[in-house]
Amino acid sequence: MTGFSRREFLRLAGLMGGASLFTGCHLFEQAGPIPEYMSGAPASDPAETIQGVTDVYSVCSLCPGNCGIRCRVAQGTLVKIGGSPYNPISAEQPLPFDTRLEEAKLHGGSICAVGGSGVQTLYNPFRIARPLKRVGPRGSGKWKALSWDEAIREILAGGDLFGEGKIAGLKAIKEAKDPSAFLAGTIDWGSFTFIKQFLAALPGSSLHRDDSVMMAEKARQAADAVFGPGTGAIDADYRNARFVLSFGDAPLDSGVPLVSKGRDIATSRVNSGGFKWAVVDPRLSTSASKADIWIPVIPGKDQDLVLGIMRALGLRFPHRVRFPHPDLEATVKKRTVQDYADSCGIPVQTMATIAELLVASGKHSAVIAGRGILAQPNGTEIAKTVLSLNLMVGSIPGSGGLTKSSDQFIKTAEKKLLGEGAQETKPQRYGSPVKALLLWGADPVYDNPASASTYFADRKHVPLFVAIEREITETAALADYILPDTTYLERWDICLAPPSVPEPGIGARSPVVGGLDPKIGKYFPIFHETRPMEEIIFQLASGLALEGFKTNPAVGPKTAWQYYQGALKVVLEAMKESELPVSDSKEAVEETFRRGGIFLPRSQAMETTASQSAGNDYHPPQLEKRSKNAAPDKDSLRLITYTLPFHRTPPSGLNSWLLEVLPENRVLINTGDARKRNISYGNTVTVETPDKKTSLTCKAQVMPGIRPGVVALAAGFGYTQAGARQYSVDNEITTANIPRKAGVNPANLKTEQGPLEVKIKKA
Amino acid sequence: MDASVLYNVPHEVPWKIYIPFYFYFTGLSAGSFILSTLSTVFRIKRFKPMALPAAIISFLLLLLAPMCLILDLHQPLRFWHTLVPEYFNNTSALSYGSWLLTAYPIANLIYIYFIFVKNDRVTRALGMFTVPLAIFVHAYTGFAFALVRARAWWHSALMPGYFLTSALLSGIALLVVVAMVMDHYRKEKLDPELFESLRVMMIGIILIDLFWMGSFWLTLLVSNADGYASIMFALHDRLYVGGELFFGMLVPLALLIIPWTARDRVFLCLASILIICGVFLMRYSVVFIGYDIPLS
Amino acid sequence: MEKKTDNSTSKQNASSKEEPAAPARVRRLGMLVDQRRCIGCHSCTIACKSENNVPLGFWRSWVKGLQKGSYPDVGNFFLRRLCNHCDVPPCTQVCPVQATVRRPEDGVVVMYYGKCIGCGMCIGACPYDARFFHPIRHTADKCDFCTARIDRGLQPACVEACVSRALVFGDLDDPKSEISRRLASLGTTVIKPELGTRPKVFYVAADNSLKGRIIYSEDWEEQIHKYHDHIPSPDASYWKEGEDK
Ligand SMILES: Nc1nc2c(c(=O)[nH]1)N[C@H]1C(S)=C(S)[C@@H](COP(=O)(O)OP(=O)(O)OC[C@H]3O[C@@H](n4cnc5c(=O)[nH]c(N)nc54)[C@H](O)[C@@H]3O)O[C@H]1N2
Ligand SMILES: Nc1nc2c(c(=O)[nH]1)N[C@H]1C(S)=C(S)[C@@H](COP(=O)(O)OP(=O)(O)OC[C@H]3O[C@@H](n4cnc5c(=O)[nH]c(N)nc54)[C@H](O)[C@@H]3O)O[C@H]1N2
Ligand code: SF4
Ligand code: SF4
Ligand code: SF4
Ligand code: SF4
Ligand code: SF4
Ligand SMILES: [Mo]
Repeated sequence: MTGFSRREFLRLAGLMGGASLFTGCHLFEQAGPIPEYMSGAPASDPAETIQGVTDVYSVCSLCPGNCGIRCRVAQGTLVKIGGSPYNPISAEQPLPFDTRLEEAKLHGGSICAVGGSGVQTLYNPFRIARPLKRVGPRGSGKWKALSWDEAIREILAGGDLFGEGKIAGLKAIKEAKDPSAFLAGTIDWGSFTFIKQFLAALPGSSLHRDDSVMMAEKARQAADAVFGPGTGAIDADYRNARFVLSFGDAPLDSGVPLVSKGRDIATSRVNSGGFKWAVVDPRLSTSASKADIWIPVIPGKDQDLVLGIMRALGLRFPHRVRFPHPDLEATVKKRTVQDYADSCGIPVQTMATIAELLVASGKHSAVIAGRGILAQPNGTEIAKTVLSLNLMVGSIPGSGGLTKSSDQFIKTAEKKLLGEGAQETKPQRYGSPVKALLLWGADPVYDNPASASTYFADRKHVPLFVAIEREITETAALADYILPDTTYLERWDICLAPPSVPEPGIGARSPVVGGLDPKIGKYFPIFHETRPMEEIIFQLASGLALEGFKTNPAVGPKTAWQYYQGALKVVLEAMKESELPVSDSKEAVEETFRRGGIFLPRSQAMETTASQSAGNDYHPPQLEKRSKNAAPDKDSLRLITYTLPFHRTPPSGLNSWLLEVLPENRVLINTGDARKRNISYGNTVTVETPDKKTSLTCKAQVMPGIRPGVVALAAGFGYTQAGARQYSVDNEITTANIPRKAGVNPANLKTEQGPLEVKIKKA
Repeated sequence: MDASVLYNVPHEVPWKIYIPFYFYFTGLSAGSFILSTLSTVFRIKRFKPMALPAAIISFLLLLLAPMCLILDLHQPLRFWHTLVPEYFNNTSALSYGSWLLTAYPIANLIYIYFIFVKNDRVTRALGMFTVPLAIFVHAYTGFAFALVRARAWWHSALMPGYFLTSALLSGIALLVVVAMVMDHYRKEKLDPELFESLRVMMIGIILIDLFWMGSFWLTLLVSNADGYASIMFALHDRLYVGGELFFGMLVPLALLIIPWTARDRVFLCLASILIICGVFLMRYSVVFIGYDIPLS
Repeated sequence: MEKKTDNSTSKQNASSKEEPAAPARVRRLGMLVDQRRCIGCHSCTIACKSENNVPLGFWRSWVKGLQKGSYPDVGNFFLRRLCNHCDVPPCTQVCPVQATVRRPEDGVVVMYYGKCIGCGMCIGACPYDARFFHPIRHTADKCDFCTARIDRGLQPACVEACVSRALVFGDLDDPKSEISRRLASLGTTVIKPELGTRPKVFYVAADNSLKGRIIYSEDWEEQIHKYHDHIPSPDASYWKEGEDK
């Protein structure tokens, strides 16, 4: 058994480097369900006229955008991912839900580069085909393949598993009610609800989240503080807004989702409807270059810019603007516009122009804060200040400039699934010591290499570390066991639309490849030894005999398919109760999965509670005193990070179609700064922290579109695991792939704490 | 103003080294053949001893040339497609070329047979028919480039003429070398006048080639952006300036003209070898400088 | 999975495949690329790659990007490229075996892979670098306006994918088609019109520095000799040599 698994793993790992993605698929042949794909053959039939070619509707998961996708499957092989014509994110004029599937074939939807490359996430040659157990110390890259039964038994029972002393298994931890945790990254509503049910039944357990969730949480907190509790995430309504002011947000680079924001912004810009847009960003992003005004603020000085605009508003339009809180007004009035201008590096004139545009657009303005703001120290408070600009000119969610997703029904559905008593708790970041940790859908070590790896590598903090992962990510590399689960293209989920999408509804994800035996409700993925996360948890739960686990196979659903059939029914019921015109019959559930979800026209969107209470429950930002100028070294530059529209942080960014466009990230540096350092386009440079403890070596992109004194690195490169290095599995060495380790990970310099002073030298 | 490329993609050069070889061998063959006909068709007695060896060389090179072409084809087994009448493309130089390249070796072989059996009358008639064929075979390679408007470096009315004369030049140079080898091993020595006339012919053709080259440079220097870029690129290319022009044309020209080298067989041989290499470099730079100028 | 196909539909479609696709009227298909809308996101590139299974290192569709100006007056410019489907195509002119032709019924320049001998003449003859040798099929290849799709009434893959709706595809000879109406109201250009190839891909607001080789330097030597150093994307050999043993 183990021999087979090792061979399979090696085969997977060895097949990178072929000229075509699909040449690789030949090597899967023996896996059975994936037939040979005629590499280089003319396009397979898009209109589903050849026997065996089918369209499957599902939901993308490569960014939080949750676009509807249509997957073309030829003889069991996924050959293409396109946009779904049913989905309001993907299609400008979505088809009504009851449109027949054959008719839908003649229509299409958009898809972004990352979403389109998902084929390669599925057929990733470095996917794990069997459960793995480490044989060396954590992170040594030495693994041994196990059967599922062995792996689950060891995880439950514990013992001297690694020859490093006795470890408590999950059973003992549960009995003792010792702390254990499930660490989940940005995951979808359906699986999140499932995990909550599991944790509710497991004594001593808690839910941990990673920085990506904490980032979204900061945004939510800021919106709640400004527009009232329960507002949740907000976004600009690009279809209706008259003026959008984006702070550290790049909707045309990293829009969530790019697919609808790209379309909406292009339409507003090109139609001469008077749409104006200003982007505050030290770097000329695509968004900034398409905007009417680029405001290249000094990184980390956004707060002074906002206060300056507020000051200008107050001075020029005393009767037309209103400070939401006297404390804020007092803070703003402490300094002059000129003073603010000097410290943020933006001329007074620009602030005045922005003030004019804001007042002219009034409630049709939208001022939003993205990761560029949220990632700064004190990011939540700066974001609150930024959002307060909306209130000053009378813009609240729903008034024309700002939108908010209207998924009130989802709260009802959640209550139904979790029980009325379930408490909504603030997400808790990982990092506290636990006896056992399960990880799914998160790669904290990539986002935070220094501190996260100390936490995960330390057996005292986490004596038993089980990663449910598809490949050996930076974090999974430190795990004791890796249980291979399926990708988003081989699982079910229920997905909420992002806040920029006002159409009420939900996305329904279902497997696009593999086979389902509807009699027993069991799903067979393309790699026989991988399983949907839910079924792994079911197996653990039944071993633990969790009494209160509502989805306990003994009483409730036994398979992922059964669970999601039930969960979707509950959601449809909740929608119906919210007076949305949907059916909650068994057929409706099937139809919804078949169409990748259900969405209703925008006109059906409900009034949100926030729009009534907005402004009445305002919490002013707690701003830090005027930031001290730490007399920066003349020679040093400020490093920021950004997101490319055709890359994704772990690990789908490693898709070769994306790496092909830009194989490595290069440090962006202003032409003048480069000249001073004798650096020209393509030169190799080192980026070093002032303490000289860490440095990165990469190429330079010398360009005029970045503020002098600032340098920038794109996220999503510089992997050290996931095929970028060799592993030993059952004592055989696997192949590594050079393209997968190209570029640098800016997080190695601790960029997660906002802009950073660095020194750049020609190498 | 500063500029910085954000993204762009590479475009592979579709041809390998076989293609300049193909054009080169085709030319060499045509050049040798024309030399062979000097005695058989144009009745210049002096060249009589060269008629047969020149024709044989020409034939052998003609086997090499298509081999190079087929080596470069990505579907070599489909070579016969070029001879399917329905597939004939009347705007494609290559279509004509394929037929010429088929007809010409056959005519050549028959011609050789009649030289061999010493039937001068038939040889002459055949030669008269084959000479235009040889000229077309050669000129066609020039047309293959001249008719490509995409690349300023190729798209010139001078191309066919330039290809033709340089083919002749390489043909003569090759024969000089062959004649010297023959002379070395054969009992009856060749007429020294033969070498003298070959020398004068080479000087003449090099001068014509230099004239082509000059015209080429001047027009390109004031041509559009691509033309200007090509000529500037060429003038900075060592292989082109040092190889093709200096060692391939100027040095042999000097060797052939300067009295004390001109009379020396060794230098004549050296000059011929340089010319043979120079003409190859000319084919090489025509093909690849064309690709060195990016189009997108 | 049981939900994928119900038999009636696939049968119905299978029969529709046999009926001749030839429309009664001759069409002239073309594309409009609106660079005002385009954000250089490469969605079209990847859609084309997956629709047509274009091997790594080769491109039927690609996007060029340039940033230019002097801080703080700077702009990013993009140009989305594909085959122009020239009405007077230099590529078909040179093909010795008519393996690439302009389809008379709709003006699409297509490849007949079975005929192609792989001589590469068309690749050198295309003024737009739109062609390449397909390393697996071993013939020339290029954008064919997704004939497999358009012959069945679908939009080309890139047009369907474009997130900014920057691409419009349709019949230039039908005055009522969306593309004709746009062409009638917008100022458009084509690439290298001076060559007389009569491209059928029209651009709105395309930047001059991107239409031919990217102009990033005034100095011709820098511009020509270092051109390849300024191409971030790797060529096919990068993928072939990617293995680290
Ligand atoms: N293609 C793609 N899209 C994505 C993602 C992806 O990985 N790939 N990720 C998704 C996720 S999880 C998220 S959170 C979002 C993030 O999306 P955004 O919120 O848009 O965040 P970024 O693109 O990281 O940064 C936005 C801009 O902030 C600028 N910036 C950096 N520092 C500062 C500063 O100090 N001040 C100001 N004013 N600006 C600054 C950067 O230059 C960048 O252009 O993107 C989502 N969309
Ligand atoms: N320098 C720098 N660093 C950054 C950022 C930046 O802008 N600059 N952005 C930060 C932000 S905002 C974010 S959101 C993060 C994003 O970075 P991450 O949160 O690390 O990236 P994700 O793509 O969300 O994937 C997280 C993990 O989930 C796993 N995963 C996804 N789907 C599945 C699944 O179906 N099954 C299993 N088992 N695993 C799955 C992936 O394998 C991956 O390991 O990056 C952060 N890091
Ligand atoms: S924007 Fe792209 S990556 Fe994000 S969900 Fe949509 S298709 Fe997927
Ligand atoms: S998909 Fe559309 S917006 Fe994106 S690069 Fe292509 S043409 Fe431009
Ligand atoms: S763009 Fe090139 S490949 Fe396309 S039709 Fe014109 S010449 Fe032919
Ligand atoms: S490569 Fe193929 S299509 Fe191109 S010219 Fe040669 S035979 Fe014709
Ligand atoms: S029309 Fe089809 S083949 Fe042409 S670029 Fe678009 S997707 Fe590629
Ligand atoms: Mo994020």
